Amino acid sequence: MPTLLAIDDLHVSFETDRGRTAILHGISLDLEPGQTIGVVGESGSGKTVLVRAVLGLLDAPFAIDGGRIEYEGANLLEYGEAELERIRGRDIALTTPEPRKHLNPLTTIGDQIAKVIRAHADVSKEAAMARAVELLGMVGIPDPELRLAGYPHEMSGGMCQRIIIAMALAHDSKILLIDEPTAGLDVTISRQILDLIRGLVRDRGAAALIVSRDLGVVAHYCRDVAVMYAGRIVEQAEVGTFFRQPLHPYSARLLRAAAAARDRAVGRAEATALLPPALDGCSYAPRCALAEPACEASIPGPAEPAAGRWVRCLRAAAIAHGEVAV
Amino acid sequence: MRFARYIARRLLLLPVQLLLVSLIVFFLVRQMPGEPTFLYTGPFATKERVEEVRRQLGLDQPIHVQYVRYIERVIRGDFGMSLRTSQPVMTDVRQRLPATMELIGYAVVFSVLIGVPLGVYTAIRKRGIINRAVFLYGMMAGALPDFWFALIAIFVFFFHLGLLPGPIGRIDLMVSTPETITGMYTVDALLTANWAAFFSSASHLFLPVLTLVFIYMPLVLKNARSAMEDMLGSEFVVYARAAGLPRLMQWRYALRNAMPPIITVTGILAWFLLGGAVLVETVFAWGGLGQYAVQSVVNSDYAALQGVVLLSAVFTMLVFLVVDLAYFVVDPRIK
Amino acid sequence: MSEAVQVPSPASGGIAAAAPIPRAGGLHTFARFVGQRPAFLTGLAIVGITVFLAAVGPYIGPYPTETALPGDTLQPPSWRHPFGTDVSNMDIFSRVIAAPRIDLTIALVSTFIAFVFGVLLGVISGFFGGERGLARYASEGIMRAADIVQAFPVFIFALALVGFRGPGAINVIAALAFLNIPFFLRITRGAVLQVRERPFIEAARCAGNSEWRIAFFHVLPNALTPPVANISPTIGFSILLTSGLSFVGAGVPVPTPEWGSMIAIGAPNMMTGQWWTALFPGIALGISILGYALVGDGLKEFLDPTKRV
Repeated sequence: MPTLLAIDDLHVSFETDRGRTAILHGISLDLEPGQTIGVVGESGSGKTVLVRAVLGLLDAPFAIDGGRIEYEGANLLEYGEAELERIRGRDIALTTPEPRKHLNPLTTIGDQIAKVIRAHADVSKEAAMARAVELLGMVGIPDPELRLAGYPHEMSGGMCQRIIIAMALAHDSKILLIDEPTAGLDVTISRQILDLIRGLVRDRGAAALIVSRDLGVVAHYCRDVAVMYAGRIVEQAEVGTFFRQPLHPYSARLLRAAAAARDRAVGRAEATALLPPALDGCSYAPRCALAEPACEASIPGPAEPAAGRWVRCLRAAAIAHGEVAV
Repeated sequence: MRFARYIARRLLLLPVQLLLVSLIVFFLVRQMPGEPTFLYTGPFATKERVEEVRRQLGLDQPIHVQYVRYIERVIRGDFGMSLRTSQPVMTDVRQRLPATMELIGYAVVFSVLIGVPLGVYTAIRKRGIINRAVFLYGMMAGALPDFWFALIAIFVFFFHLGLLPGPIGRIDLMVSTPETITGMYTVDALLTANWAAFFSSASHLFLPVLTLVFIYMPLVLKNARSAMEDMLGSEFVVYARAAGLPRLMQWRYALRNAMPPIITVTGILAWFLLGGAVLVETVFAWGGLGQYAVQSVVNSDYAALQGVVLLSAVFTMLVFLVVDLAYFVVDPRIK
Repeated sequence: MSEAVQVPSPASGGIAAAAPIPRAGGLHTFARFVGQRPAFLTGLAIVGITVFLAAVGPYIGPYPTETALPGDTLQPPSWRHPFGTDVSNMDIFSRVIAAPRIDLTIALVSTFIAFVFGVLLGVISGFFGGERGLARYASEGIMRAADIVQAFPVFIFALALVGFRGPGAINVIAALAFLNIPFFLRITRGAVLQVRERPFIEAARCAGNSEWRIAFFHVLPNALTPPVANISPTIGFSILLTSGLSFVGAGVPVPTPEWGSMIAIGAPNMMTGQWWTALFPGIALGISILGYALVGDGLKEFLDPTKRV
């Protein structure tokens, strides 16, 4: 399959007056048409920064230190603002968590959706409004015509989330970057919306990157999963194999924690030591039960234990062969 | 309808505020040292004469009775007689108010017309020579005394360059004042197509307005810039950008949302300018309320001072009333 | 389940590699902070000079500060008179460097009084706001009183206060102190409203402290940063108001060396070309106010590490 979007060795840092802090250390990720990748990891692992980097939304104090983001044969990192403006919202669309904050509080919903539509389509205001009604209907908002004249502060959080998603669907984008789609939505609605996104990806040959902390969402709606820890993808695998046998100790811990929460045994879940990621060697080593002296010496490179499966762990082979328990 | 209810509620609050303000002014006057009848009787009056004046002024009554009488007079628009001009204070004020309003009005308009675009520009273009210059100017202007800047401007433009008239009031002595309609010379001159009066009064307005704008505009500039910076960094502008809206549209989103703080600071500016105008009017012999206030302080003209102070508070309240109403129009979230 | 996955600590996040933020405080940290900020350093130097001149300014000038010099009317700047002389034959340089004595004293004393009253009232109104009974009325009453004081344009109110009590340093101090109380009150109240919601206040309450004790021993010390950071700019603002009052003859009486009244003495000469009469006192005034503003900005940044990024 040809890749739609190829992120290659992306490095991002954040500058303060006390120096530079690396945030993404060489992220590589490919998206194929029809593919949905779930990105999981704790807050601060760099998921949102990754998504925003793709759209060229990172301004100072963020800086891109290296890598490529390839889309339609061009490197998006070399695009200027005007070129990016043409891509954003049309080819690559984004949804965000905290949807209410992301809507303009002083203009009506209809006006905002129409502006998004008219940014890339040469249609009349009336046609844009009609399309807005259609989009709101698609994401399951009742009485869409009535909502057009409303303001964001008059809507619930879940309603705002659906409005944001409606805006992301306005242009039949090839790539959907879906950041925390289920936060604030009840189960029925989030299922409805994820079904909708899955349908679009399948029917249009689009691709989606779904950032979520909800492993259930990833398990049901994604083909592949990428686990991020401290600015690196530590493991990437097809969803089925990943959930059967995670190879990275951090992945294993995520799954155990999720299972513990499901079994209402949160109290017995491992009290994770609140240790910061290491700067040298494997960044997870300080929290890892299986860490050896070698883990602290160098950053483990990606190993490919099976086709389409990547892991960054010195002990992955031992884990895979069941020699150690994760 | 919500708007009408809001106005009604806000207007109902006004008399309460006024009552409290009048109370302050009332007690302020009691701060006067010495015997208040002294000013009316002179130092060598007989005891009987002093008693008579006290009775006339109502000073023999208990304090709350005095206050009620004072309020009664104020409501009737009777602020007493000015000792200096021998006119009712209300008459004096009515003659001088348009001069001050004209001065402040132009200062507010130009401060907003220059300050807001400059603030927006420096919020968008964070680097460059203009940004640096504006930053230095903002820092400097806040530290400069307006009355001193006025004098320097007079030295440069009047004495040295001879471009503008000196500080001799609102219009050339040779030019007759335009027919009074609003009392603001430039406006009246325009309305009556009296070009000589217009150019003369405009040239007299130039330096005092320049002074006020130069010194007080940074207030608008800085607030417009920080409001605009906040809004440009806010999530909804970032999202507008992510959705592919062009930059101009992103800036319009940001500016629209920066309007409430800009409106507020415009109100604060008008409030500040009324105080600043006192000094600038004195320098330019402007003959407005500010100069009247200074003259009444220097000449111990207490009735006049009391009237001006009370009216300045009324002005402040009206300004903030207008600000609140403008807020209501701009922001649909206010219920 | 997401809760268990999450490790909700910023320390475990990906940006933990940043150098730890040094705690505010410590002479060494302060010196390094100042060293990196030329504007702050300039401000401190200006403040230092004004304090020095307030102490010895009247004695170090080449000429007496309140006495006319025979024959030297309106002399332009020269070696003999670096800033020239004014219409009353007084040496402007000697008077400019003597002026901080009165200007700074008025500003310092009035700001100090306003700070003390403003902070006390701010703690009371902030800590007891929203409570029931008497405390709430006290809190509301304080705020409404502050509203009313601030309903008057600042300069007009200052003029009126001095006008009704008569000119003179003491009355100027009283007027400025009174005017600045609502300012400190509001700043303190804002900080108190935040501090009182913090967990350690609840802890202090559980430990059996009385409400008053909590207000003044637990909340107050933690709410002091914003009002303290605003002392310096308030001093600058008070110098500006003092000079304005003196300029119109409602402040410090002539011939006491004071920048505003010196500008007033020079004002008529500006129209006839003797620019030095008003120029130099005004520059001294502007630089001083700028200095206090810069120190205020620097302190705000120093005391609030989140702004230091």
